[in-house]
Amino acid sequence: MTLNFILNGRPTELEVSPDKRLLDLLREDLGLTGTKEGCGEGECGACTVIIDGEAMHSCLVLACQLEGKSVLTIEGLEQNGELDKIQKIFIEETAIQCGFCTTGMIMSTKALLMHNPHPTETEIRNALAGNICRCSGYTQILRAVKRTSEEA
Amino acid sequence: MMKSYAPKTMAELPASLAALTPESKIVGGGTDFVIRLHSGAVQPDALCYLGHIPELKKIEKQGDTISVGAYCTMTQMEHDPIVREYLPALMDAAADVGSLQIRNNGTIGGNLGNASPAGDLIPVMYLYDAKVEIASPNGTRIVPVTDVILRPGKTILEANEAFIRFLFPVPAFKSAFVKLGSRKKVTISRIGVALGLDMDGDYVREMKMFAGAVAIKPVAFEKACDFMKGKTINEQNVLDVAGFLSDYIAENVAPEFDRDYKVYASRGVVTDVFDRILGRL
Repeated sequence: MTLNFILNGRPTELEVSPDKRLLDLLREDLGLTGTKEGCGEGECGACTVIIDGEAMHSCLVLACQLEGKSVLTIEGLEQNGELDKIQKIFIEETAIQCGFCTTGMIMSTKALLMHNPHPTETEIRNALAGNICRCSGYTQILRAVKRTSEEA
Repeated sequence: MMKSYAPKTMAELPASLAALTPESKIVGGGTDFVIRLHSGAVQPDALCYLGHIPELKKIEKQGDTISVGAYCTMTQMEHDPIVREYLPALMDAAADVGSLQIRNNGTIGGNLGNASPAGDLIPVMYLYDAKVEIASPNGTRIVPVTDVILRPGKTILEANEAFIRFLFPVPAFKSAFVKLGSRKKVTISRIGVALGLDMDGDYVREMKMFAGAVAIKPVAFEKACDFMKGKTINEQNVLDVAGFLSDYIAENVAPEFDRDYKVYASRGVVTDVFDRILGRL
């Protein structure tokens, strides 16, 4: 099928099998390897991207669902060569250890702050409940999200 | 190459459905289906996605009926003002599904179509006497949700059929749903209890109760409801209602499906659902 959708703000057209997962389409067809595959079952959140403003698992979305939709990946966060504020603060707060969950954590944070620029700690925890960090660096991650919202 | 159909209007829907074979699959949000597809457990010849049709994403109240499009997401139902006012047990169930990423993608149609014994919304559909409208190439038919599930993963849907919307009569009773999982968030239902209460002052006039995840389909607890008629809601009566649930589980659930845990946990989940509904009386 020919798929037309918006990827990181740019209209994108490609030939793709309808059963291809968005995750594979990004990594294999478009070379955007910032999005990671963890569990492949919607448990770990590593593959989180933002579709039409909502955080979703790119491992559970198929090409046949994407026509006309707007997809934002980690690669779409930088503006004019500058990292997004969330990315800078994650680095400053050492909210990254091995880094594998980081893309998903940042995309879930981005979606949260798009809806709710000043979330409470409970709201942050709810928004990130579907993102697992196996290095267990949650304290630093929460601190980074809080600081980002305070400095927004 | 696999075929794909994604009609954009209701007018295009019949032709898309007509093209499907018994090997084809309707895709909802995909949060359960894509896992089986990717593992090779299902190998469809065609996929059909109806989420571009605006009518299938709408929640509307028309007279005494609330209509919920089959592609409404959990997040949408959790926050929708009509659902919150009239169908709070549906709000409870939708709000507790998986993680935010799953709730942003998972749909009500998919929850029923997947026909999982642990489907969070299904006991709530039973509680509210919901019906589902099914489209085919020749038109639509309306079926009670209680007639839909044949066995785990299998519904009455024919190859050319799809759920398009759910019809909930505006309930004349208060309602709530509580799910017990093995942790607070991002969990699979171990027991889900949907409760409806029609009160006459401090006394129960009518009660409805369904439990999910304890059998293939939600189980009605008519004896517990008869027991509560004319009674007040106090600690002992609530524990007696929990007793109907724990007795059912002890007699019907196989030990390998966490029977002993579920028997023990019945008391907590029934207490919680009464607490939640008391906050709404």
